Amino acid sequence: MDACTPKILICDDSMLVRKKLRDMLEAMRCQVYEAKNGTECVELFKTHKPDTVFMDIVMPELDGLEALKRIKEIDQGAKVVMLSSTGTSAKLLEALKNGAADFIQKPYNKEQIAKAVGYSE
Amino acid sequence: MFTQYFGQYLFNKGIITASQLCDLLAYEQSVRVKLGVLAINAGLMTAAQVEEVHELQRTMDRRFGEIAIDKGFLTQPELDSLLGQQASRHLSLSQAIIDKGYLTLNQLEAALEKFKQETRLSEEQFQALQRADIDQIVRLFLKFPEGESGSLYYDYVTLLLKNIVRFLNERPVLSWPLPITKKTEGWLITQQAIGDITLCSGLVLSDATLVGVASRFSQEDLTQVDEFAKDSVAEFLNLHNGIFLINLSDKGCELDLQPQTIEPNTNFTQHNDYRIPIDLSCGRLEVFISLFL
Repeated sequence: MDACTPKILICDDSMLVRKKLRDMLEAMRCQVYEAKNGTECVELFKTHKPDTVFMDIVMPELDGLEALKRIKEIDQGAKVVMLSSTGTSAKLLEALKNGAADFIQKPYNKEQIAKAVGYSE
Repeated sequence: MFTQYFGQYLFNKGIITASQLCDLLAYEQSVRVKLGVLAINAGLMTAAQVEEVHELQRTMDRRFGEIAIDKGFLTQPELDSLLGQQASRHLSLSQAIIDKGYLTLNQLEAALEKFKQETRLSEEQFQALQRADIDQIVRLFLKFPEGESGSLYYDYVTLLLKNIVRFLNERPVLSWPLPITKKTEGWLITQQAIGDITLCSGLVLSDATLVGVASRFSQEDLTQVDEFAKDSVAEFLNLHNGIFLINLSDKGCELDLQPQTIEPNTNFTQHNDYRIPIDLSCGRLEVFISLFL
């Protein structure tokens, strides 16, 4: 890994989603960190300062929308992409209002993830 | 779809054995041709167009044909012709039964007639089964009350069957609802959605069914019930409920999904209105649902 390697933080309570997304991102030569809830995600964000955060919305303990707010308080310029199965208009609006860079509905594909990371495969 | 229902009927009646049923299901799988393949074969669509429609289907609750027409890839008469070709494939099952010597022609004819009588299928309903029309099949087996709640139950089960086809690549066999129970035997995976209405949903699966569903959904070769397998089934339920909520949101009804819970052999803590069995090649799962309007 060099200084140009994109650092990506995945936050999702699903092991399956974390594994599949990690496999996809590592194949794109990204350095990947994982959090299984919003609380862990905020802590890892402070430590690693990732280039992009992929954030689930529905999670136990601290949900994705609350974690998004806390990350934005730490770094207003943080790039957080919401990744959720519930792409309802209310959730989408709330996420964008709170500074989310994008919203990807599950099931996602490799092209959507690559675009969000900044690759145009 | 017809293969599963008629095959299951023949097995339940002792007309064919379990291994013969497995043979027939494997045969059905081998000859099952998707609409996209038929469209390419007929020179009506390119592979890229079929891929584009499949990709859109992953996030939209719409049929292949509907999307293909919207995109201008097919006309309605072309789609009708392809659907006709697809439906005629149920005849392959009857041919396989005869070819393999499981039944004589007379026995097959009598079994088909009894199947229609015992399932109380009208000719129209029988045609729906042959066409693998999931919307019609749900209405054949389930009788929900008239009105808004009934309509939501129909939508929920219909979407679940479609998602089983899409994401598990399974051919689900829906049966009549079972009596409500307060205790589950097997893994119970539940999820609630709260908002303008409340939706409580749950899946009950044996170890073998859980591993089978998890393997298909995760596309990993799983062999035992572990955290990854349980999580995979929970994520399938989450994905399905998410799509259902998007459909509701499009109609102006907003709900928030709650995190899923997974427990073994437990008592239900919530009221359930329906317990619906769905048979898959890896075993039976039961769907528990309640809606509070």
